[in-house]
Amino acid sequence: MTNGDMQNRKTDARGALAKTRQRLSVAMTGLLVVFTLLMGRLFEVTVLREPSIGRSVASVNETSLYRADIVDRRGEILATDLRGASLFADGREIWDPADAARQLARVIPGLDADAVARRLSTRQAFVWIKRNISPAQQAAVRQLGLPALHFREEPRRVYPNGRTASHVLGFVNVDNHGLAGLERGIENTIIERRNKGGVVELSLDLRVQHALEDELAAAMARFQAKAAAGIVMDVNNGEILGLSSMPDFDPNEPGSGQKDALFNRATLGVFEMGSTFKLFTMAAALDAGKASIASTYDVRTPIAEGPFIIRDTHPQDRVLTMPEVLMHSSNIGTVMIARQAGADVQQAYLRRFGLLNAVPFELRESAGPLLPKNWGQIELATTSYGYGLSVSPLHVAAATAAVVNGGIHHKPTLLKRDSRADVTQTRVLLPETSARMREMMRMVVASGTGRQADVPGYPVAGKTGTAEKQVGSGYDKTRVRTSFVGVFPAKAPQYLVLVLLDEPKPTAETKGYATAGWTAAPTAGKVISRIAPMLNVPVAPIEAPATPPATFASYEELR
Amino acid sequence: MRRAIGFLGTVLLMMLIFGLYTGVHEVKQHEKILKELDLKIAQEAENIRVLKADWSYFNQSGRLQDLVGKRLKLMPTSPGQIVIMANLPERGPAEAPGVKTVRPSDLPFRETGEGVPGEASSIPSKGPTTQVAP
Repeated sequence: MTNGDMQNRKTDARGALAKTRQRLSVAMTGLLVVFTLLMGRLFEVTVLREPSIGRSVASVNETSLYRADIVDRRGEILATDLRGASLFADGREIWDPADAARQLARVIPGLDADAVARRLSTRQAFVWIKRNISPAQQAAVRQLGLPALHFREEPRRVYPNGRTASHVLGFVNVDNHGLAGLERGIENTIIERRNKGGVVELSLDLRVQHALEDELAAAMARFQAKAAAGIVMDVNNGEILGLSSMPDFDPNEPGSGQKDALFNRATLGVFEMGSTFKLFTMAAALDAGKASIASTYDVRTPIAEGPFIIRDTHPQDRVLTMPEVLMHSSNIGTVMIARQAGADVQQAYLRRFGLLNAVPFELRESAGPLLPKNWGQIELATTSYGYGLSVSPLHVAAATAAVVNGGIHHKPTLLKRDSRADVTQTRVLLPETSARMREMMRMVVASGTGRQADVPGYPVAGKTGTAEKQVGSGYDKTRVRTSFVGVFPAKAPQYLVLVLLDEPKPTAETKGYATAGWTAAPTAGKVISRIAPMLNVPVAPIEAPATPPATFASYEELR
Repeated sequence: MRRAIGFLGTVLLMMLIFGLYTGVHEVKQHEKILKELDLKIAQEAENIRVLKADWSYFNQSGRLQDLVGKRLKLMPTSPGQIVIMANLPERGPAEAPGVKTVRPSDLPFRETGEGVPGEASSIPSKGPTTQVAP
């Protein structure tokens, strides 16, 4: 080895060392960058990022709606969503469609095996077998052990109270979309409430609703009536505590009953209400100052008006005061009062009472009135005692509430009102007119046609109505629609009860009568005697037994 | 000196990595428990809904009415059972000296609570108690 070689090697080694150092630093830098990145990512993953907690969100079904519970004013559940399972199959995985369908039909009663087999043999990836099956059926299907069957969780609307309040609640289709009643009428509210985790509170009182339905059903059976309707309303804010139409249906299986049962007679049916309309005629005449309770009417001769001859059902053959006209439900007297007031006053007041327009209401099953085409002398006469103008029972309830509550018309509602602040109210009568009307209506029940509606302890004020049904161009005397609209307690009314019976038949008990005083009035009385204690209505001091006042002088004494 | 720093750095890094690892692991465990709890809560909530619906179903007014009619000797409250002070009859004359007032509790038999039939304001015979409304 020479010195030069040594020198050379030294420089080589030095160069190699420098090179290595260079490479090392590059590698170090690279590693540093990588590790820094890793650290940063780790930091981001563990500290910075929102923890993605795997909340078990059930696969949201696009077709099915989730709805809030509906409860009554005391929190009793009227409608709720329960978890239901729906069965579907993957057609591609089915080995033998016919055999699978046979096995399924064995565990799910009512399943059409042939139809299912046909659908399965299309080999589609998604075939509905049956929506909303029961837990027992679900277990049975699992037991079959067929590979292609799957369940999808879906909300199922359940109405635990069965037929109770069926016309108010309505029902939903298989996708939980509302088809009738409140389920349809306030569907958006129900879905919004559900998204906020709340419930929909109704003004209904389940106990009142049951009492009303129970008595209506009993009356229908007793008088062999074709149908019935009833409304219980708070006269001071328009809240409806009970609303029923018979025959009714089970909202859990809305299709199972008679087709007629889905028709809501309390809000969608419009009828010529008969004598209950006399209340509005008299209130209008009194309020407009066209007549006073001291006015007298000679009802001895029937009135001929156009093609009609207007007679009285309970002829009195004497001169009556206004309260007596109402007590004995004199058609002649009422026509005289209407003529005193005039057509303009009559129409203006009927409009104020909301009888000439559809009732703004939460149910879409709410009908507008059927009005006479032109409002001449004949219509003035017939409308005064409730013929020629058809309205729904809800119309009459809301209007009567305004007549007795001091003269304020409230929009009827099925939703619980939080306070007096959000009440839509219009003054339609003077408070004095309302007071006179209350007194006259009390006399109808104390000693007039509505006697059988009275309840000891809870003095009732009201009016009966017996309307003959229109058959062709005439009226059938044997087929009537009877109604009673009453309020209690008479002095300061809190609640209104309306009962309507379609074609009640006379019984031995009613001495051969099928008029409102013998059918609708006692039914309303029974409803009131059941609901008054529930609603904490204070018992009134016992009145001296009222005797029918013969003249106006004795009426003054009664007051 | 440099060695010490390098060694310390390595130890620190390892500790950090280990800490982070256990942290992540624990979080995962907690998330798992949370998921289970959420599921349980959801199930319980659903159970409560079912029970509430059941309760409502078994408490249908019509059903209770039928059962009470069959099994119990209770009747609907009639308005006559609720009495206010103003409707009670006047009290009799004050006790005269020497005259013993017989109270129901003095009688050898228990009161049957028989009311006067047909009288609206009387206490009905089947009423369990007489309520006095305020």
